[in-house]
Amino acid sequence: MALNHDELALSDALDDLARDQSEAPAGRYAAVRRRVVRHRIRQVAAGGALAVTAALVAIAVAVPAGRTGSNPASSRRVPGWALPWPDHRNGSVPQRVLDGAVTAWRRAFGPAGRELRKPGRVIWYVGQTAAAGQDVAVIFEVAGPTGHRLVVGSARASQVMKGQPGSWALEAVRAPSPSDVGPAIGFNMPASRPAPKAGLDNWIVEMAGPRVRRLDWTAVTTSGTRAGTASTSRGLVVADTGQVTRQVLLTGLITSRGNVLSHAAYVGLPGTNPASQGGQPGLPVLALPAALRLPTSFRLVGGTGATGAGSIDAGAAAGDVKPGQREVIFARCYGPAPLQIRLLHHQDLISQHVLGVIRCDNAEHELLVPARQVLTHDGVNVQTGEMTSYWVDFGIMP
Amino acid sequence: MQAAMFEDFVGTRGQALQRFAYLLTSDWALAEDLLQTALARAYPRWSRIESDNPEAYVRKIMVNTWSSWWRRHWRSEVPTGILPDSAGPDHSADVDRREAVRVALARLPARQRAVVTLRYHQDLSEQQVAQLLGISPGTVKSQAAKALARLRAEGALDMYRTDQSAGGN
Repeated sequence: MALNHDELALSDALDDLARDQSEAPAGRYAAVRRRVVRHRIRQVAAGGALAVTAALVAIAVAVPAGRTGSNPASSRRVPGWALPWPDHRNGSVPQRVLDGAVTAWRRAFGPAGRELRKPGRVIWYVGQTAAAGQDVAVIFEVAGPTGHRLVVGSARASQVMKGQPGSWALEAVRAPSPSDVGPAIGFNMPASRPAPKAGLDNWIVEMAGPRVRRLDWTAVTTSGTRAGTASTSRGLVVADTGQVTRQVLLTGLITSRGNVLSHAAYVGLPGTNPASQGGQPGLPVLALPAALRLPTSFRLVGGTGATGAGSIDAGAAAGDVKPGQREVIFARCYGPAPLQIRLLHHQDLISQHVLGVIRCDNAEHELLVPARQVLTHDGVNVQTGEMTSYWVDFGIMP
Repeated sequence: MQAAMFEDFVGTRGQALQRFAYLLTSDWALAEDLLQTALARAYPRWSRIESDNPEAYVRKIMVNTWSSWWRRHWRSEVPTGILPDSAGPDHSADVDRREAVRVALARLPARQRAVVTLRYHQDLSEQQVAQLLGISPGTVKSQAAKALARLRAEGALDMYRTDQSAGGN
């Protein structure tokens, strides 16, 4: 049930009251252990026999150097509902730009046509440029009207770095409990590859606890399966996983005590289902295949490059069919599922006539449309699997 | 292994639990004392509780310990305001605001203070608070309502109310 205004005010007041907390005392853990030993000694003494062994004393007193009980994560003051993980912001992005991401969240996740009311405290974890400066990646938690939210996402740096509203791609889930957060929090982010190998690479932003020193993963790419590894910065990794054709699988979160990942997990947000359909959180936007080489006589009506299902609207060209002209579809795709090209009819989405099926072998294919059907309808619909990436162009040729 | 896991827990959750303790005790030193006492009591049983919900277990020990301290030592005397003793940037509004909350919270009966801290700072549900305190969810609800009414009457929440815009999520 949502908190009322007084309850929200009290929640803010309690967070504010605890804000003056000092750093964790050095030796808290050791102090606790000494209390345990003293209690045991008292118990033993009360029983009429004093049996303090040298080993017991050694455990209580010989605290190894560095084991102070303090934790760099817990020295940051965060509310009880927030993750006690470090703030990784490195100053590469102005705060007003990061505030724009919070504004975008308020606008995107409010009821239709309305913004969320101004949020309470925002706890930042990631707010920096990524993918060689092409993008701005964010991870934050925020107190909203119906509870606390974990928000992740990115925007093109060129669209937001000067304070423009830009276009943020954000995902929000209920903030996980700090005591049950799972191994890591992550998301996928596409970024352009520089010429001559133009296209999109998949990047992962993965945040684990600060004790994690290394991240291992497996990525199935257009050039085969690749095992990746990267050292973390206090638990954070931003890495290029290549032109993937499957979801990236985390295989290791390595600490000083070994791999703390009990079983492999897909890059994604806590509580999301990586195997779900339809572009659910955690599914990467794949790199596009190589561009189509179109004949000079080809007049483009419309085209699309995408991962998963899509469509091309004939728009203003609908009905513009001259005698002797042919409707042609060019396509190139890769991935586990073929492309099924259907007529698009906005009024009748169920019974869509199949114009053809294109094999996704990363080769260019041409599909002739008989009887000039597309421009007498609304366009074409591309049906395919969520992990298939393609270019499809529709046009007219003599 | 048990020691390592316990140390991990102390390291990662210690500060959050200390803040919880502070909201119960209104004193940072006492909060640290309460936290260490509870952790020391939890440690011998760590291998049994670690796989379940150790934080809830430690919180329960903290509440019970604090309740026994409260019954033994605490009376109606409440520490009054803390004034800055040197010139500097004017944070008097912030100090006043927090002091108003601290004093009002300290004036609440022990059970009401525990209920609001667990509900609105630790973000527990009414059911979870009821289980932790050994009372009914209905009692949690009524204690929270009484505490809110009292805090409202003392003006402790006035400076935390934001503008109420239409709609919400």
